[in-house]
Amino acid sequence: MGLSRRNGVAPPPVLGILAIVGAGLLALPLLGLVAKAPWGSALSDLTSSDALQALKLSLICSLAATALALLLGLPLAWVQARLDFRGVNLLRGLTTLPMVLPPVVAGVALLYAFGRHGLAGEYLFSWFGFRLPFTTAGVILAETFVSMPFLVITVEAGLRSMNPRLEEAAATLGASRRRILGLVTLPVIAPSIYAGALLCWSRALGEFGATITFAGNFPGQTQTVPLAVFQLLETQPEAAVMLSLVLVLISLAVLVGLRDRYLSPDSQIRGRRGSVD
Amino acid sequence: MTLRADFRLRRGSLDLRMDMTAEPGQVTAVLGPNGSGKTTFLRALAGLEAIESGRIEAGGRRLDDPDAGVFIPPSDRSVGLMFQDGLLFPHLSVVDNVAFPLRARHHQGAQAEVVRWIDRLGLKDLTRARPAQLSGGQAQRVALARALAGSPELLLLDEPMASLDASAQLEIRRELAVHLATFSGVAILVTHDPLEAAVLADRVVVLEGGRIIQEGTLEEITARPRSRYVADLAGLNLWRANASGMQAAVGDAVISLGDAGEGQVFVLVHPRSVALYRARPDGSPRNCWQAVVISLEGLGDRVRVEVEGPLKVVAEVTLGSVVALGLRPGEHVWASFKASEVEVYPV
Repeated sequence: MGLSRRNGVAPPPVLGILAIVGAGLLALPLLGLVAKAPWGSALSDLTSSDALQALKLSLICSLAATALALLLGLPLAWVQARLDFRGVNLLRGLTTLPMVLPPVVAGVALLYAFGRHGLAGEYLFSWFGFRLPFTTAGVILAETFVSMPFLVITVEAGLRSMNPRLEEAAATLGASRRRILGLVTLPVIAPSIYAGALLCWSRALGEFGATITFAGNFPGQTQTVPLAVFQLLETQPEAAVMLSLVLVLISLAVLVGLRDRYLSPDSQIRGRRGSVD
Repeated sequence: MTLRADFRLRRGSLDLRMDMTAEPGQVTAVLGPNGSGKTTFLRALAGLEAIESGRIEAGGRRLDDPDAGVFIPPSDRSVGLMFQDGLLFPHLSVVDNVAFPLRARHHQGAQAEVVRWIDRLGLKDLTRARPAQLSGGQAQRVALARALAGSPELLLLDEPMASLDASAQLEIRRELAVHLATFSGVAILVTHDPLEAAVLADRVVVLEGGRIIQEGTLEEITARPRSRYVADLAGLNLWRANASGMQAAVGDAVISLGDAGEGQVFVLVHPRSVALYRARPDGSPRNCWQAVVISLEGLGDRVRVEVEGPLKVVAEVTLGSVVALGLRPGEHVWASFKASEVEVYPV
């Protein structure tokens, strides 16, 4: 068979059998998707107005959610990594919770916070006339809520593994705190920011439960690709399969992107700029 | 710009009390064992550590004075700090590392200054290299260029050779000697290597347990060591003793002195003055004890023999005597030195 163990003692055969079943369980659904896909009508399925609309909305919302997560998540990661205060562990727990929370629960929670009669939503509406549920902004909020923790924990880990004495060195060389952040801290943890943003974006792109609960399923307004897949499965299964394949491709690209830049051991050295200007 | 540091700083088990002055153009070595507070001292000068009381002044400008509520942050002190482990920025090339102090202060036009330091430290062929691609010696040359490129008034060197192999140490020591000689500001070199201090510094401050024990040239310090640490560095026998007239007591042992002493004194005996015998020597030299050989250490054509009797004594003998006397660890010998070879000075 040409299989060779790396080293050591042969495992019991049952391990091998279970491993094959496990691999099959993970691979078969994807194979099914590829095998059963209506390749003949692929282009027309994907360029139907419903599909295009969903793709466009997904792209906009997931990118906006990633941008929002960067804006708010980077400072949050910095606080969690660098500041030592009572309650930092509580804070870390709270900011990580959405990662493990069932998305539909996240949607319900968002409704009770930002809905018309929610904790904050009531004031948002009565003071600014601003309504989040069942709007595109609501989709962005739901996606940010579930995906930001991926960015925060990745960047926090990056900050923790960075030698803080590099910042001291920069300070003695005349860099102000803001310059240290821009010239040293951010560039040094750039691989973590990149990986965190990529994870965050792919999570936002795939978001379903929180979105449908909080923002509903209105084509053109809140119907992102996963929601469209769910609906098209009944009316236009071919289009649903093709859209699913698009998501599979994107997921694959994310995986490759992460392996190339983030998971390789010499990523600290490669791929970053910094020249005398 | 004269540097005046007179302060107290506590950190964990360290209680650092410094009181020293350094003049421009002068290189001061701060010599001391691990944990003596050397690095903390440098960090306080750089502003990475705030002092508790007292003050640090450079050229009349107060850098740190808690009583007056003054604390100048590191970025606003004119400091170049060279770290033991280099601490080059991993994401920047050699040239960008060297340019960092200028870039950090928005001196974008100072490209010529960067090129000058790159040339002076022989880094021309490495300008585009990343720190991870450099050898230890090359990395420290970059670190030195980076520390100097900002034209600091205060150059702080924190054991710049401690993490290098022998040949790189030689290279960096040579490089430092050249650049320290022409450096016009105050230079402070922290080290635990007396050779570094001897080659690079004009004067030495010995720091132990957070206190300055001795200050002066290396010759002055080793001629009259005032601590076990310095005596060991110079390879001398030193005891703290209680003297009364021509005798000094060290624990149970009594040492006969050549000169009279009184009260708490240091007793210094050069290992070359200590003679070893297989049997009790004839006559009866007064400083003579039976002892057991503990260790032997070769030193060129001489051998340092550590023996322990009522006192622990190091004798320096020839290789021939080691063979003739059959010296090896565990053997019993007699150790003796003349009273006239004993130096006594007050604590």
